[in-house]
Amino acid sequence: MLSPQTPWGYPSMLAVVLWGVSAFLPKLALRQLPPLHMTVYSNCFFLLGCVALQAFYGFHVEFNARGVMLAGLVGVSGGTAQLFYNLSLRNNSLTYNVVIASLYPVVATLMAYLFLGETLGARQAAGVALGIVSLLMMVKTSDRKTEGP
Amino acid sequence: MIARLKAHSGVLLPLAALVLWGIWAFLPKLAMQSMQPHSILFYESFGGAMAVLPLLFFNKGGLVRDKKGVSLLFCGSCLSITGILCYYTALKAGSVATVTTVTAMYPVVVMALARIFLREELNRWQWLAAALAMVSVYLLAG
Repeated sequence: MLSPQTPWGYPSMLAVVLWGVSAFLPKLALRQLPPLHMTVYSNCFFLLGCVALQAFYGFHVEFNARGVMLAGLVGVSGGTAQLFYNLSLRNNSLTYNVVIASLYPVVATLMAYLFLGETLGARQAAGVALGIVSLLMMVKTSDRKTEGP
Repeated sequence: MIARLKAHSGVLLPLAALVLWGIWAFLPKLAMQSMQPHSILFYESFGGAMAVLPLLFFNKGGLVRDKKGVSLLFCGSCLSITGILCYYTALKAGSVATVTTVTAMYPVVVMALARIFLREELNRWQWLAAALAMVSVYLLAG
């Protein structure tokens, strides 16, 4: 299974740690900045990062009207999701938020099932069911005692 | 109506973010039928800016310029983009199923950091819910 000896082991583990820390930092930034401002800054930094990434690819940006519209919608949904997440982070604990947010593959899987006609195997169906149970448990048992000091 | 929504914002806001992130994860599947991932990322970043920047018009007084807060977000963005590059590097060498399953476990790191540095506590049901969520992501990613 996971071992640094495998060629994908180190990059995978590094991605886990980097994404983990990057999801933790906004909670600290909330002490200094309002959620809306945080979302604006994050999106600006993301935009700059993506432009830098294009430089790496020699600025060979493709253009396809349908693809651009869909990619733009990806950004709109991601930006709005981030805003809601930051607003929620102000009043809820980081753990509560991150557990709920981590279940987005359930929504994506259900959308692929409904709109693309992708079939759900037993494993995926069990994942969706467990995700929904987990979500309900998290929300129903939220007693606002999860905040840190 | 607004008062009721505000009263339930602790539940509604993360759920709205969850649904939108579901859409965010779903749409690239369609976009990738006509463009490469790095091009999608480029247009995605403009879409995100278009969604968020207009909100500034409703916000009088401009952006708060707190060095510490902005630095934290800058670091977060750098780490996030580096994480994406590591993810792509891992994808080149390993199978999509395995790499996706391993990297989908990053919330465990967040939970550990929240417990160590923010001293956040969960009740036993919430621990169970968190464990089920990780199993669910594992099953979906595999």
